Amino acid sequence: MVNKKDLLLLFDHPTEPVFMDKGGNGTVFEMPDSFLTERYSRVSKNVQTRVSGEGKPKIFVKDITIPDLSFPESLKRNQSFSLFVKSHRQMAGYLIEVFTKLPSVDDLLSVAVYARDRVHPVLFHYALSVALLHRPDTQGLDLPSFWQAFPGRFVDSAVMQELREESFVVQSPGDRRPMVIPTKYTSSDLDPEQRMWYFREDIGVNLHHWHWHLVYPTETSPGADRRIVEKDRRGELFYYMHQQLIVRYNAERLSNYMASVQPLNNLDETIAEGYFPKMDSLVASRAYPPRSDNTRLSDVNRPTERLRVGIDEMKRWRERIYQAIHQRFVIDTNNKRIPLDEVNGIDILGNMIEANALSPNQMLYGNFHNMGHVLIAFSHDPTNKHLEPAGVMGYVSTSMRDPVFYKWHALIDDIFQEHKKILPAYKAEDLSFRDIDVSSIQVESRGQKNRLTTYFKESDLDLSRGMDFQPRGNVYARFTHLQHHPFQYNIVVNNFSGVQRYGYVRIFMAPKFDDTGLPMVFANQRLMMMELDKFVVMLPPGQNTFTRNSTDSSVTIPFERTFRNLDSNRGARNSPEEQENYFCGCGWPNHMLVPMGRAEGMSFDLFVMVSNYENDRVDQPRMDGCSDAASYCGIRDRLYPDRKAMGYPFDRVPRATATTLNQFLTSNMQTVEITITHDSTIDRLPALTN
Amino acid sequence: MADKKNLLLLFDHPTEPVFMDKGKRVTVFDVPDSFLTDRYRPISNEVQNRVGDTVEQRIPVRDISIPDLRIPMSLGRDEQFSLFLPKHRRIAGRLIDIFMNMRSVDDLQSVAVYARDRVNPVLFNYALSVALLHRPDTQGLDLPSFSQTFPDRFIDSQVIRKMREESFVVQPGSRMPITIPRDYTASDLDPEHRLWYFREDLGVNLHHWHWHLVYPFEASDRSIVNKDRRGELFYYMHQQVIARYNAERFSNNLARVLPFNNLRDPIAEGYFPKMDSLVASRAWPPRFEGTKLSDLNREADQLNVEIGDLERWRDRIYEAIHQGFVLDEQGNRVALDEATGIDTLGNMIESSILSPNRVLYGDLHNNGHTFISYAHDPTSKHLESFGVMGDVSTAMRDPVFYKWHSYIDRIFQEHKSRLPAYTDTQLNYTGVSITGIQVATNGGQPNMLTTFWQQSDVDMSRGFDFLPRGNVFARFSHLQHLPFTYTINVNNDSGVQRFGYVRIFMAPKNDERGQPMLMRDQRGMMIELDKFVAALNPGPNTIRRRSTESSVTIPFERTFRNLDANRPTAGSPEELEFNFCGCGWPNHMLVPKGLPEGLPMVLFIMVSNYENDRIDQQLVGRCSDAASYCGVRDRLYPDRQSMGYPFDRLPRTGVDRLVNFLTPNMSIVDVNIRHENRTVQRQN
Repeated sequence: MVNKKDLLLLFDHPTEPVFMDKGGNGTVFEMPDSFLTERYSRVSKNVQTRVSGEGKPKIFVKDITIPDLSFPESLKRNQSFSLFVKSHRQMAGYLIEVFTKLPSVDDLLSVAVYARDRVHPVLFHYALSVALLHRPDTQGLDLPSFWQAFPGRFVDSAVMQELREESFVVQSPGDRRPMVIPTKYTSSDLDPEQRMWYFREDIGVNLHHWHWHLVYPTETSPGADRRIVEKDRRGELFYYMHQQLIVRYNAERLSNYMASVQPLNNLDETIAEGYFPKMDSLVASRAYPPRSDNTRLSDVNRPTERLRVGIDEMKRWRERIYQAIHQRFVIDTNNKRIPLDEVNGIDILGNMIEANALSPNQMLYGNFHNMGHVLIAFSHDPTNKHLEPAGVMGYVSTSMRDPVFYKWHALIDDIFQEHKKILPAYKAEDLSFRDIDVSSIQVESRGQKNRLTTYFKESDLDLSRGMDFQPRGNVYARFTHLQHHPFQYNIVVNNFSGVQRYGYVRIFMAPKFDDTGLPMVFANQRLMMMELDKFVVMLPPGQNTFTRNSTDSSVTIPFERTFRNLDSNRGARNSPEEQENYFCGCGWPNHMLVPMGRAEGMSFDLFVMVSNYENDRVDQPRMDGCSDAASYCGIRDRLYPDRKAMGYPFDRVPRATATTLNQFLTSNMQTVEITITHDSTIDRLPALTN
Repeated sequence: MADKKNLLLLFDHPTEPVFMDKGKRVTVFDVPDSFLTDRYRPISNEVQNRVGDTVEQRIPVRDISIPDLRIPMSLGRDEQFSLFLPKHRRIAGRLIDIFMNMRSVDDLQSVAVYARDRVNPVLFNYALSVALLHRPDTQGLDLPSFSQTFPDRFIDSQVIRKMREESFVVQPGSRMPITIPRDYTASDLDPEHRLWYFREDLGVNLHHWHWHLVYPFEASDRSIVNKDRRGELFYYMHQQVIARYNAERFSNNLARVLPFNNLRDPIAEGYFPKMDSLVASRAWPPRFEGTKLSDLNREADQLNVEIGDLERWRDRIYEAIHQGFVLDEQGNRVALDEATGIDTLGNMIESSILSPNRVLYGDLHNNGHTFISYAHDPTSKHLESFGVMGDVSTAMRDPVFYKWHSYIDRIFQEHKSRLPAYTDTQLNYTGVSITGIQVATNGGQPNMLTTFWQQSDVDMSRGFDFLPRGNVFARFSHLQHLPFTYTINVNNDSGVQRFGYVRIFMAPKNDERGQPMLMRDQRGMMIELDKFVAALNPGPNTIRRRSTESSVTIPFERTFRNLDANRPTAGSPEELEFNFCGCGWPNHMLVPKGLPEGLPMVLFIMVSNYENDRIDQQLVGRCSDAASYCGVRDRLYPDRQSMGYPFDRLPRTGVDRLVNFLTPNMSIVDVNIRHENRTVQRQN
């Protein structure tokens, strides 16, 4: 029987033929001749002898009857695969279905080996990843990170060429030097949007977005297992995760003396912000097309992708969604009314706006969010006249690089907020936790009270798995990312009830002043509240003091997990910790937990609430693995671990009497002003020379 | 002493370090340690040892003191080098100087080896090529084709990737050619795309690159620039490109290209090159449809030019034309006369350092390229490099190239239209008359030409850096025609032997509306096909001339330097001739594509009096067989008449149609060009 881990080798060198050596130790798949593509059937044996040879590991691939793959094969290998394109989602759905239905890991390996050189490399990677995440017999596998397989989606094309040079000229891997990914390489200081480079172009941020969409696919093929899409509160999570992205982006903008991002409300207007990605797709062998300043959207009609969407349609869908919100119900495909109530309304809207297979009525409410990506991604070539692939907005692993992503999602978020606005405000008694007082809160970092410091730091990533048609061995790219000194929360809670209680501690933060320097109006500030952490505490009677480390955040995953730097920093092989540590890549990167702040310090309101866990708890079996970034990612195979609306207590308009954050507070809440200072010295790695 | 041929190895694998193995015979340069860059000093030995067993040839490099290279090195190695940017021209001029001034081939080799890993690779290629073409001690060298050194400038990025895959996975010998797709830059929705085979032809773009290599417009050694009638040749070569392009448009049911008259109009035609520069590791930026030009202010390129500047220069040039003189830098009038006016204007509009007054008349043509190539990022806000219009090896791919050059041509024509028409007497050749002309393919119908598609393979391995060695072929499709022969019957009634200069042109018969063309329009569409000297014995003469002998074109093998095949015997005078010159219109593009149902053309042949036309000079072995568009190396242009004669001026009064233009020494015949939509494989 095959070891399920062998499946992971299929992610290596995704555009090389499957018979090439994998895994860095000369491992090859021994496959039936009938699996080879015509192009390579003559040479594959010779090549295997050259690259592998005696004594190298061999993986035997069983000759089985291969299911019909003609539908996923209809996407050409050098085109671009986009989850925003419905026909591509359908192909992915089909392939996922094929992979998940196979009776054994052996059969899966055979079909995957067969499919690998025939279907699109990114489609293959996506479908196999989803299948491995969802098949019961492939649990606990440590999927390589997406950037390792496709570094071209994350790294400056010039660096890719330097890496190629390094791996060819310097053949002993130990002598190879890391190639530095420059900072601010996509635009100059003339472009104010450039100040956000460290957020938009952060590898971890883009990986998080890719992973989120991997965990929450939007489509399966008709009649297939809907559970892959139909996850607990997935529509709401779509809203909330993206809402938090906008919140975090706006805090970064304020850190850079910029106002909040303006939503792309008028689809007829030109988009002032251009974007030039300066990356080459190694799969399509095409540059990611840029968008010039002041590009206007046009109706898209591209038969190749079976895409046809007009700006008038988009407007129609948006009006219908607004109408549904204001009427407080949506109409499903049987013309029945489904109320948009306090409990399910946001989840229905999320599915409907995204839109995914759970939308109550795609005919009526359309495909708004996805098609926005499509319209923008193809604004340079809406009719395929110039045979151009989609721009970065067309792919979940690259869209967050583009300033327009945030304009688009600000518009999406405005629609969700319209619904939230008409829900009744939380009453003070709903918010409070009787007999529980939060008496003081504080954050502490390196001995300093309520002062956090951010800085830029260099880290190295091994890109060798994605360097196709190159001599083997590690090659490193060195990138610069935001980082902060770790900190801890100190929270003092009094339990006057005389009995032990459980509290759900909810920690948020928002800028104190707006872009004009005035104190934020609470109605606006609540929309700038970024979630930092959420956890359960036991409260014995009397005074309780807790400390909580920033690295434990329920929002983030550690740096090592974001990047799967497996060779360093890993626990003992096959230990439970390893399984737990490496399972899930979804989660906000911990190095981006707090915004950059300013050199002279920037004031934030830190907010802590302890709610009654009895009201919030979701009873389900203990979660294993991949649960520690639940706030934005949920938990695999489980319910969302909080009965409250996501973003609670800031998801609704505050009660009429609360016009400031202070007035909003009940005794189980507390705020403190903290200062985030940005230290402009860069924590560099030692410059390596041979 | 260094063998000058070794210098050519420095063109191989242009972005790899100089100490890597080169050439088909594994060759390494023994680079002095002090020549190595800091980055590679510690490992160069290890690398050379790695290839050590297979080395067949070692080339010693003398350690000499190296001239100051700071100016050439000021251009980053991963920047895009453009001849249209004044800053880059100055940098190139400096490097050419350094290479020209080295006392011996040995010293040149040392400096070139030293410079190779330090200066921009395209700049290096350009400057070394110019130096090798112009140094007396490096004559007869066979420069590798630019398309082999930098295939990324000629080939779809997807094909480059497949070739990379092929050379990594498959050992030399088993490798298959990778096919460059025929339509990859746009779809049929784009009417301009019908011209892909012209705009994106490897040979056409190589010709343009080579032309500019032979005619640099800036160098501190003025003699490199100051070649006989170079300004006029700038006008004429580009005029012919437009004439040919328009004939191809007619072959695709498209009207003539409209000149880019209003610099403030949006450019309707977008262009997406789909190529990656391997030097810059950046895609060539596209231009979206409806893009407008903007004032340029790019500090790094030292560019600060307004559209208003271009308009001002243009208006002053027109003023000079209408006044009949230009003002030089001292304020003296230089007449724009019949003999040298067009040459002066050519240098002034291009402009080259021969321009009489660059302050007054500016740098119109070059800046047009620059403006268009930076339309997507005029202020460097997005840190983008220039588009394909910014480089002579890629500019002809873009539909806007032809709009721009139509506009430039219109200015030249304004001057030409003011010159006195050629009179009957000037045109005639007393005593010599043409009695009949015919053109036919071998065994084909008379006056019927046939075009079709052909696939040819070119080895691109020299330009595949950081990859295992060995040939890797690109297979590309290009237009081809059946070779044909002109038969010309000439009567010499003078009773003595005379010499005639036979001038052959061709133009579409009808305009885009299907109406017969007026002479004044048709003359602008006359494509030169050939020009040669014929001895005319008294009485009737029959002259036969093959299309492959054309004075406009060079053979396929020379365009692509398929040097390993079809190579004349080593050391023969033919070899020298064969080797030297890559400039010349590619022969496979000699005649326009035509239409499936036939494109009616008119073939024009004139025999003029060679006594009036001749230039007395020795021509043997001097790359003279594509002289019409390229001139002759180190020689005068081999025709005393104006370039384009007799169609360069307006016809004499009363001549509305071509037929009225004819004097007895001229003749016309209707020719049909039929396109067969079939593809044949080239036999090697």
